[in-house]
Formats: sequence, structure tokens, C-alpha cells
Amino acid sequence: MIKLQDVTKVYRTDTVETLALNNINLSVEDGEFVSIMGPSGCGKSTLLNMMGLLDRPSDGQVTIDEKELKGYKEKALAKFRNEHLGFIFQSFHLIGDLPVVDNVELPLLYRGTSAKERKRLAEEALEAVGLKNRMKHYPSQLSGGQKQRVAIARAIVGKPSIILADEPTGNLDSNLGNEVMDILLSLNRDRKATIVMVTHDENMALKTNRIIRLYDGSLVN
Amino acid sequence: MIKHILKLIWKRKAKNAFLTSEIALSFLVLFAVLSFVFSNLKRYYQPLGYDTEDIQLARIDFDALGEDSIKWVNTKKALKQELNQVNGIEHVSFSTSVAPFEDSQWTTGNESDEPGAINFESANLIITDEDYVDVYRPTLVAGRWYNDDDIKGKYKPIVVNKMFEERYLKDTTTLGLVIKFWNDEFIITGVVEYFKYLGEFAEEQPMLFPYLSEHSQQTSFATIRTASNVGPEIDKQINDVIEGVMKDVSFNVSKVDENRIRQSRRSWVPIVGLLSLCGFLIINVAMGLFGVLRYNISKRKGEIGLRKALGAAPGNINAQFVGEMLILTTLALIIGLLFAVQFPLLNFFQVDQDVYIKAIVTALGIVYFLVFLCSLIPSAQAAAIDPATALHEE
Ligand SMILES: Nc1ncnc2c1ncn2[C@@H]1O[C@H](COP(=O)(O)OP(=O)(O)O)[C@@H](O)[C@H]1O
Ligand SMILES: [Mg+2]
Repeated sequence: MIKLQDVTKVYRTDTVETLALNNINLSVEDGEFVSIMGPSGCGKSTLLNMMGLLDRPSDGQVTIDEKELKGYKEKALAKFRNEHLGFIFQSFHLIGDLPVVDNVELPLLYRGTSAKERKRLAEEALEAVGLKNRMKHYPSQLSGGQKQRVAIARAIVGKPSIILADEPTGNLDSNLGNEVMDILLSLNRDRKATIVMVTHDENMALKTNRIIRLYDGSLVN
Repeated sequence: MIKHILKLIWKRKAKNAFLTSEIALSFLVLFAVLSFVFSNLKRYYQPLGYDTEDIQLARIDFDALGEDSIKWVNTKKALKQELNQVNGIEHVSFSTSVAPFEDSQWTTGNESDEPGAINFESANLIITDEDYVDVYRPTLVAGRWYNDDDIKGKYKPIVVNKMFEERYLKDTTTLGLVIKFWNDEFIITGVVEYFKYLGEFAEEQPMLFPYLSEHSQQTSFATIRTASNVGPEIDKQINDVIEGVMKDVSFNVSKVDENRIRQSRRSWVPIVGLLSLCGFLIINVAMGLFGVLRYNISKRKGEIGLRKALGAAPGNINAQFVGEMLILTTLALIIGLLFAVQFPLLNFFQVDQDVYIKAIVTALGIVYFLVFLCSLIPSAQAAAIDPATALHEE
């Protein structure tokens, strides 16, 4: 379970101070598929970063699986992310110089999994997204939809309990977007993965259990 | 992890080519300079083999005495006698035109079909007299320097150095051996250990010190050993005696110690120059490396952010970038080594193998250390990159 209590995030640069999140309280239950919606710049990515432990709140606290993460050092946070969280980004973030299979293996590399086991698990994850035959390809040889499916394989290869997806279909046309969405739905249904997804697409959001709406850093009821 | 890094490096080989060749080239330049410096230092640290303190070298234009051999003999006798009478002068020796630190050299060889002949490819000569040993005090490892009795003997006496003995007299006993060259017969009375007369940075050569008979008209130097407690007034006394005996013959007197320092200084110039150049090169390469690394890392912020999101701790990122550089350096050095090892293998120059090996090891060490040092800060900066920002920027 992800729990945010009084989470506020302020970005400070030399000249401006942006209140990206304003006193957010919410929780996501285990096995839930939640979507976050809101206009551009309202703080959706920031909210997802808080849940993903990629950034620390300016105030308030984030609890995942009952663990109070405030006191965690960077290294411990990295380990926690590696074991419990899977990430999917709008722009895929594949490493272009590595073949598909190596991209998928990445989380396992930081877990100290043996090369053989990494390969086996990566194959398994790629099979789940229907790309087992593209293992040796490089990202530049794939279509956008395939790239995002590789990114999904990478997100699930370590069998995390939570998947955080920031506009996973934002760069895809509706057909490919639906394919990706179907995969996410099946992950939620078959593997009981908790999924939090930022989306602009009302139709996609309607397929999820719950929609959280943000406006100007605050939750809208 | 190493395999992972190797894959990345291989895929980026075009981008890494410049860096690789820069490192390989720096290594080769370092290797060349260090080979030069080390081979010089090696020779420098080999013993000179003789004294240079309290010795004055008088170059005298004996040829101006003309062809009259009686005049030669008498003048030399008188000069030696009068110099020896000066209070503070201990020994005087005559020799031909070769003397320590004078950049002059006289070599000879012997090739004869006669049975029992001692042949030698090349030996350096200093033709001198029985007093030479007391002036320069070389260490004798066998026998003795020739004395008055040897001079009167059937054969002309000769002293050789250890290198001559080791190179050409391996199969015979040295002392008492008669060697023939120049249609003359010489008997070996002694072996000096070393005599690096060409200078501190020169190589020891096989040496022969044949006896210079008093009738010989080949004299150029009178070498004078003074007592160690004499004052500067000895210079004038020496000058006056030579002037008195030699009349209008021109001469000049120098101190062997000063000649040694002057010549040595000349040899240090290229060494220090090259080392400074090398230092300059190292600083430049280091700055270049530093810049390229920082640039590369700024280009890879997205990748770094991603790795962090997926569970890389700052230490992992740090290790990855330092590791990438060290692996790249290893590849570059393997390329450089392929060239460098040709030198000891093919022996292009008169440089000992151990000097090359020392130069290779030192150059490897310097390059590794440099790369490691230059990658520390950029890698630490990479490790500190904030994943949320890095992923956001892409
Ligand atoms: N690293 C950052 N530094 C400064 N401001 C930021 C940073 N990240 C986001 N912001 C600001 O915070 C606000 C929310 O951004 P974001 O969460 O990315 O919005 P969304 O994902 O909903 O489009 C925006 O005004 C954005 O400019
Ligand atoms: Mg966003």
C-alpha cells in the first residue's frame, strides 16, 4: 500500500518557487489500478516521483508497505526502488546502446542476479509483452509501441509489487496505446500488481479502478 | 557488470575512438620520454670508476716543439720534474689527446689471422704513463698499474678495464697475457674496474691503457693531482711552472671536477627539458580527459537518471563511470603496448631491456593513475545527479 500524508513539494530555483504539490493525502491499496489526471504542469509527475521515491517531499511523508521511508539513505532508497517499484515513462528511456534484452535486465543488474538468471527472467518478461523475438534488437530498430513494451518488460522483470507509469501511452497512437494499456490491465489482473498511471486519456483512465484528479498541485474531489 | 560496461564501450566505439587514441598516444609519448630518461639515469648511476677531485688538466700544445724527439723527451722530463717539486702537487701524468669529460675519443680494433692472436672489435684508448693511476686513482680489480720495472720489460705494459676483459678475454687468463696490435706487443699488468671517461651519462666502454713511452710524440695532456688541502694559489704556481718550462707553447689548465660538472649540466638539459614537456603534456591530457568525461556525462544524464530509478545506488553509478574509463584505458594501453613492446623486442636503439620495461611499467602506472584521478570528480558528479530532474529533462 502506498500512503501519502500531508505531502508538499516546493521546487526552488534562483528566481522562482513553485508549489508543485500542496498538502496531498491519499493512499493506493494493494492490487489497485489508479490513474492520475490533470492539466499539464499540475504536478502529476511530481506526485508519481514522490510515490516512486525518486524525490523527497518538502514536507509530509510517504509510506510504502508500512515502511516509513523518510529516514532512508539514498542507497537504501535505491535498493527499495529496485525491489518494490517498476517504472514506465512517456519517453521510454531505453538505453540506445544496449540491445533489448540488456535493457530489460537492467534492474536485475543492481540486484546482483547472475547473468544466466538475468537472461532467463528478461526472456520471460519479454515474452509477457510479446517481444521475445526482438531480444537482440536495438531500441532504434523498434517502433514506439514496441519500445514501450520493452520498457514494460523492464518494469516487471524484477517482479515489483508496484508499477508507476507516467503517461505510458502519451507518445503512442491510439492503437499502440491500447495495446500497452491492455498489457497494464493484464498485469494488474493476473499478477495483482498495484499500478499508478498518469494519463491524459479519459478512455484509458476509465478502464482503471479509480481516477485521482489534480489541479495546481492539489487534489480535486 | 564488467561485461555490461564492455558492451556499452563497444557500441560506443566510434565515440570512444578519440579518447582511446589520445590515451594510447599519451602512453607512447610517456614511454619514449621515460625510456630516454631512464637509460640516461641508469648510465648516470653507474660508477665513474675514478676520482675527479683535486685534479687539474693541462692541455699543452706539445706539437709546437717541432719534430726534434730529444727536445720532446727533455721538455717532458723537465716539466714533470718541476711540477713535482711544487709544494702541493702530488703526481703528474702525461697522456694522449683523450681525457675524461673532454668529449674526445680514440678507438681501435684488432683483427688478425695469426694463431693465438687476441682480436677485439673495438676498444677505447688512453695512452698514458705509470703515474696515471696515482692521478685518477681508478680501482684495480686485478694486478697493478705498470711501474718503472714494467716499463723496462720486454713488452710494453698495458692495463685494460673489466669490460674489455669480460668482452674479449673470456677464454684466457688476463694478467700476463701478451696482446698484439699496431705491430707492437703489450703485456697486461692490471685490470681497472670501471673508467667511464666519456662522462657521467656515458656508457662504460672496453678500455685499453697502453704505456706512452717517453719518446712518444703524441702527448697532449699533463694531468696533475694536487693535495686536497692546497689553496687557490696552486693554480698560479702550476701556470708559472708550465709557462717557465714550455716558453711560448700555448696551454690551458682546467679543473677536472669543473669539467665534469659542466659536461654533466649539458646532459641534464634535454632530460629536464623532456620531463617538463612531459609534465605539460600530462596536464593537458588530464584537462582534456576531464573535459571529455564531463561532457559525456552531461550527455548521459537521462541514462543516469534511469539507472538510479531502477535501483542503482550512487556508488553503482560512480563505479560504472570510473570502471568505463579504466576499461577504456586498458584497451588504449593494450594498443599502445603493442607498439611499445616492439622497442625491447627489436632493440632499435642501444637501450637495455630493463630500461624499456621500467619505462613501460612507469608509463602504464602514470596513465592509469591519471585517468583514475580525472574520472573521480566527473563520476562523483554523475553519481550525485538527481533522478527526478534527469528523467524530467530528457
Ligand atoms: N525539477 C524541477 N525543478 C523545478 N520545477 C519543477 C521541477 N519539476 C517540476 N517542476 C515544476 O513543478 C510543476 C509540476 O510539474 P510536473 O509534476 O512535471 O507536472 P505534470 O507532470 O503534471 O505536467 C510545474 O510547474 C513544473 O514546472
Ligand atoms: Mg508530467
